[in-house]
Amino acid sequence: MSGLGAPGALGALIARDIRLALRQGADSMMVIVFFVLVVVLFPLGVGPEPAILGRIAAGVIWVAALLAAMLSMDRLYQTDHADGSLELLVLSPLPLELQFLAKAAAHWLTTGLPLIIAAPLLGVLLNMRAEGYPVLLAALALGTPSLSLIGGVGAALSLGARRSGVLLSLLVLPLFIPVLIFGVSAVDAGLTGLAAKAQLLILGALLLGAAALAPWAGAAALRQAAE
Amino acid sequence: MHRFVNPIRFLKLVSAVQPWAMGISIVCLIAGLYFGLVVSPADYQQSETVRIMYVHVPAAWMAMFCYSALAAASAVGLIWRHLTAFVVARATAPIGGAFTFLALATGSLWGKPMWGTWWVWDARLTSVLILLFLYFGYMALEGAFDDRARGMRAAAILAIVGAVNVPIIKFSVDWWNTLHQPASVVKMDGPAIHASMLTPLLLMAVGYTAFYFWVMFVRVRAEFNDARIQALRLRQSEA
Amino acid sequence: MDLSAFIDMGGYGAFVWPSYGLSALVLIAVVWQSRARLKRSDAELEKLRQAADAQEAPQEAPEAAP
Repeated sequence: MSGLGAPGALGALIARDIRLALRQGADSMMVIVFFVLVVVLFPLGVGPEPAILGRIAAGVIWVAALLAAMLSMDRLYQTDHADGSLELLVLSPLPLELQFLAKAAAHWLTTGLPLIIAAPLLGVLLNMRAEGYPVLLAALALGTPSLSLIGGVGAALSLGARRSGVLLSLLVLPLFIPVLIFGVSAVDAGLTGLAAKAQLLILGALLLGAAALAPWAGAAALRQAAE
Repeated sequence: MHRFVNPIRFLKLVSAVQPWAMGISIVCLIAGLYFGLVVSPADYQQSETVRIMYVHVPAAWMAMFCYSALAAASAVGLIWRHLTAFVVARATAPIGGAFTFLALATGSLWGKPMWGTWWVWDARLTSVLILLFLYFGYMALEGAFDDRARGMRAAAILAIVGAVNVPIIKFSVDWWNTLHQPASVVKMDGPAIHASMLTPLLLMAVGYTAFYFWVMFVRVRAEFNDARIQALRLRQSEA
Repeated sequence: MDLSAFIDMGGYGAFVWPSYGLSALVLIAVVWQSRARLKRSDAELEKLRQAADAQEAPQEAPEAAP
């Protein structure tokens, strides 16, 4: 692996993490089913009136995406932590930050990407108007990787803690709020026929910021967990 | 600053300054209460409810101040590996959380007569509510580990991540608020403040700040005691 | 100043006094809990120190004997 250089090594890491994730392929399906289930709850709770559903569709889909992304997060590092391979990861010659990025990328590919694919179906269920779909997909494409990155930091921080699942949600959901706000705002802009460029640019900026800062924080947290 | 890394020296400093913090706090709070409740006039627009400002605004200021202190202490602890800094951070969190809660509660009590509603998703209120969750998250993460040192170090990272996020949250909530709020919201700090109102406000602000240092010092001393207790117990069980 | 007018606060007494009362309550609770914890840990530390001294004392006696 040392002869591959950083991009090659990153690719190899991502491939490994995807293989591991796909081996537990049921988990990916569970996340999607949860996503759909949460969205389905809203018409049942709020009433089936199309106008109301259409008004809240963007928000509901985003909140459901947040919660679904959370679901698979706490297991991100747990198997490594449990079987002791976390120490190996920390000690390996590959920068820990790079490994963090690989884990986050694998998480997105196995959780975020399926969410994006499932989103249009949910838009239909919530009577979202046609103008909203392209922006929804674009916003989710920019926003869900941020969720994987921020969530990865939370997962690393709560490794080995008591009640780590709930703790993770408590830590990470407040940090998701900017992504949520701009994500929904983008879709609402699209629905009213306005340009969503500003919101999408901000989502992109948040993603770049998260990609730059989360590996530092995540690696620091992983080192603490391995001690 | 590095001189006070040594816990013993730090504790000596803390014990020396603590009575001053307590004294200043109590004096300023009593004076502030007197000026705020008795001496200062009622507001032309807001009548007597303006007096709530004297407990609301200082609480809000302290909520932000404590979070900055929390993040700064965490950064110092992570960069220079000073355990003392982590202890200061840990001591600060519950105090900051209390101030944040008071800012929200007194703001709500001020809002009902002023705006006619207990709560509104105003950008400022929403930001402070999220700040409260950041405090909760910090305290939860800190206490979730059996190894207390691990808890403090993990929470320190979280504090810094949160600190980076606070301006982003403020910006995003402002954006959200200006998109969705139709009418303008009555601002808390309306007309330029008159001296007769500035005096109690500043007195309460100083009193609250001194209060923070007083209580933080007390908690830091208790933390160091606990650490020593743990060490002694360990030694005794080995003996 | 008229006491009943003071308490009434121009009709807003129900908002002003709970604000001050809640603030006082929370702040007093914070300082009380912190001081109680300090007192407890001081006492605990003293107890442990005395126990440690008592443990070492009998060990010194035989050496001082000869």
